[in-house]
Amino acid sequence: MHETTDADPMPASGTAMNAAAALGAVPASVVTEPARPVAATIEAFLASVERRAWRVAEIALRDSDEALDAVQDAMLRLVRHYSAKPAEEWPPLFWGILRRRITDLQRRRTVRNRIMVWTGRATNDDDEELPAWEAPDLGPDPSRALASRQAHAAMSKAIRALPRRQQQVFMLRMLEGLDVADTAKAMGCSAGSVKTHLSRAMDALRTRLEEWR
Amino acid sequence: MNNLHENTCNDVPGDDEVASRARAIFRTACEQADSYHTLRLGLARRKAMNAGSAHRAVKVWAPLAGAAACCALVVGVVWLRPSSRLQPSSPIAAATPALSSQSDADEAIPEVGSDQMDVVQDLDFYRWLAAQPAMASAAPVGSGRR
Repeated sequence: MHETTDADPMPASGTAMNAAAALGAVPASVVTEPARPVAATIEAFLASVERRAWRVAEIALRDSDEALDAVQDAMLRLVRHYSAKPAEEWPPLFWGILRRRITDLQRRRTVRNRIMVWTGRATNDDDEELPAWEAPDLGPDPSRALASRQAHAAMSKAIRALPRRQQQVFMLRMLEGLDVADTAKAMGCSAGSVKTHLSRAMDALRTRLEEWR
Repeated sequence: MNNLHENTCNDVPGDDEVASRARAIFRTACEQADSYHTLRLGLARRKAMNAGSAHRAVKVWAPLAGAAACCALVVGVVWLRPSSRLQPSSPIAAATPALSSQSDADEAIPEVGSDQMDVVQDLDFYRWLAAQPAMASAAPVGSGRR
């Protein structure tokens, strides 16, 4: 029942046991978003997906500019190499490219941090959000927008606390709404592995939901 | 099994709640993306589209240009190779007998020494002289002795 092809190293703890018990317990209705219409052109597809892609990359990378670079790179690669493919294949291809780009940037950052630690110039920013300039809020209800931003920050933090593969499955499956097959294609793993990672991610996030409210 | 999980941990929300809440937060965050990043995303998309069209043009024309360059190279090598024009055994030489006979005639010209160069340079004069013997032999008989 469990796929071990590309599973992350998970501690043999109660959490893993619960995840194993709950495997397959995530009903399809929970993760099924209303089907998005297939884009007619690749530009229309990119226009429809760009904000979500940027937000996903931002959650994973914790940096808006790096997220923009990753999304732009994914767009470029999709247009250059896969624009001739049928439109139904664009979503898993695009998200697969973006996922690999994000992973590359995360690994590069890890190496850079190790070098910084070694040279004694490291800064511990794992748990701290750097202050960033934000545009003035001109919307009708600033307090509500602030609450939304805080909820998003809390959710991002909870997602980032997950192992990388669980993060990716959760974002592709729950936030982007890809089906199991497309998620597996984007992640380069089997459908069973997707279900396993998603179940573990849901189990871990369930306890953190209070922080998102 | 999901119900069982919710029953044993009453304080912990179910998958439905986690999913719907996460999705709502994410959707709101996407809608509230600031104008600076929205603009940059649009620029990135346009850049990708432009680069894609340029890449497609290169993909179409690069093989054609490469094939044309190869053909030109082959033609140049065949045309400029001296052995293919001088060797009588080559098919090109056999197919063009006039060219090969001309080259034979060129080869048959004897080398001219430096003392004979005057003869060659005054070739017109000697030709003229060769045309004169009848007049020259006739002239002394009649005119000189009178």
